[in-house]
Amino acid sequence: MKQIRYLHGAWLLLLAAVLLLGLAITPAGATNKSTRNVLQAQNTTPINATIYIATSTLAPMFQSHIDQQVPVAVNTAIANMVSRLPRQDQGWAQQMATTLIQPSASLVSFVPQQGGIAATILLSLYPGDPKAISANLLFSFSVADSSTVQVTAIPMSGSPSLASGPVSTFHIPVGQLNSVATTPTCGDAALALNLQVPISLGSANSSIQAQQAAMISSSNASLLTALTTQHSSNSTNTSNVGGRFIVHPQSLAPSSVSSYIEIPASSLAAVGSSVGSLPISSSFTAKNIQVSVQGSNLDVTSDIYWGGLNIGTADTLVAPTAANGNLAIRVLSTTLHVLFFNVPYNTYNQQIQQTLNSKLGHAFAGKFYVTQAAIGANSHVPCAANSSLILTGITNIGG
Amino acid sequence: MIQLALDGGALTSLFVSQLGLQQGAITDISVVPTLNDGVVLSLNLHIDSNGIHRLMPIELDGVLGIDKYQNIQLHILHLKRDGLDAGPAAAANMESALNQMLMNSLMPALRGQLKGVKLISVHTSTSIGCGAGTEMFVLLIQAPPIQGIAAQPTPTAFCFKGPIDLNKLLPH
Repeated sequence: MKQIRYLHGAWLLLLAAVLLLGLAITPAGATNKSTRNVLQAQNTTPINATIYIATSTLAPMFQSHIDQQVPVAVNTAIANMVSRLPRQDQGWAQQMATTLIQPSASLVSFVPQQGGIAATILLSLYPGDPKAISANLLFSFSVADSSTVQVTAIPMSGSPSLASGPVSTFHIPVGQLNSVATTPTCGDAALALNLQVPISLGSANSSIQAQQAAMISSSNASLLTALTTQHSSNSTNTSNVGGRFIVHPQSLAPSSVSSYIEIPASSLAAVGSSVGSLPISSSFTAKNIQVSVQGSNLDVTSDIYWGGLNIGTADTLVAPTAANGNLAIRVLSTTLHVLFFNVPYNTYNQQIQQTLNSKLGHAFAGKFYVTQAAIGANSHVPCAANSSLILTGITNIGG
Repeated sequence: MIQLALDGGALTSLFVSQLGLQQGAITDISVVPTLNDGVVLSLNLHIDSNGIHRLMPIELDGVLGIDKYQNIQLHILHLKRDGLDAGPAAAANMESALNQMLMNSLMPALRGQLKGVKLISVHTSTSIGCGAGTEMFVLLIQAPPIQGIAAQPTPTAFCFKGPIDLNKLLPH
């Protein structure tokens, strides 16, 4: 009986040794070939995301819109008044009115609150107007269509009704819009846009890289034209998984707006399960990939198959990071669990890292240019969960 | 030669009739002749729209003159909104607008009443006999002989005080 137990133990050790040897002698070319085969299948995972737009991002967008709209509105009012005069008097009356009145309006406060953003607008009828008119409005937000947010102005009680009713829209170029709400208790964030966003896993291509570059160079222009009256019918196919995107301005570059993207642990798990199988070598494949948050890192576990046989599990600890504008990971350690043995095995860390990064490399391509990635809330996004992945990046909200 | 002398009240009524005041947008208009051919035009502009109720006092300080086509012209020195000088550019724009108004509205109406009359000059004066020392806006005109009125070696002055009817500037 004792001999049988020894034989059983020896067999396990032998099997473990064979497995490790098999991993060690795998030709690199074979690994790359099988990796490419898997990655050729583009895999899109929809996640339910929320974009939080910072107050300091929204306010300039509104100011820009006001700058455009106030002269138009006043000129229209003057034209209406002048049109009632005899034709021979319209010219001088128009010139007189436009000489006397050169209006401008500035946002003096812009405060998110439940149900909207309370704004105080100071309307000057001419430069240096000592009697500028103060108006208080509540801007509410609603979904106009799958990619458009409707902005509606509600004059506050006792305040001049500078604007009332639908005043503008802004376009969300990412995903499909589900809902919109203000976030008065979420730090810098003013507005929450709940979206379904498709995350693509697979190999990057040149068009996506060009899209990334274009996004960086055009982000400021997009913000300046953010509040438009055009509606877009763009939409994408997605399904529900939790996720949050926090937009916040940073001084990264004059033409860019930094964003904070929050991807909750549940979304990470969903993205992980959508990866499918990952080739580790020509003989071994990782399947049933699970992603979970472990402290400030991500824990990637998978079943290891040798041919069609499940021979154990792999546990890889990775740290989120950013590389060339993409979400990336850095493998910290890998442990193999074969039968009852936990074997540290870091030989293929680089290979695993490359494989995972090639999948993640364009997960947000064309949507966000990732500059930083970390687990947990930070001072800019205090409402983010500590188990969430926070990406800092650049986006084109409003464009 | 005839001097048509108008005091502030008369001059104001001429402008009021020509400005076509719309729905109370302009009130309290006043045109006052001042020293050295000067004139001060003041009014209140009412802005009532979208819950905004704003009264903007406007004041124009200018000098009266006449162009080569015998049109009364104003050279605006200062435009004030709410008592604040709007600067030379705004004054120039207002001058252009006002002179358009004078040419398109006031002058045709005046010429309609002063047919065959040549406008010689405009100025302000306190020495018009019938003005009793009041600063008057004086139109010096050369009129054809009027039946019943003998030609005079010196200009004959007619004074108009208070609101006037443009149609009754000269005896018919």
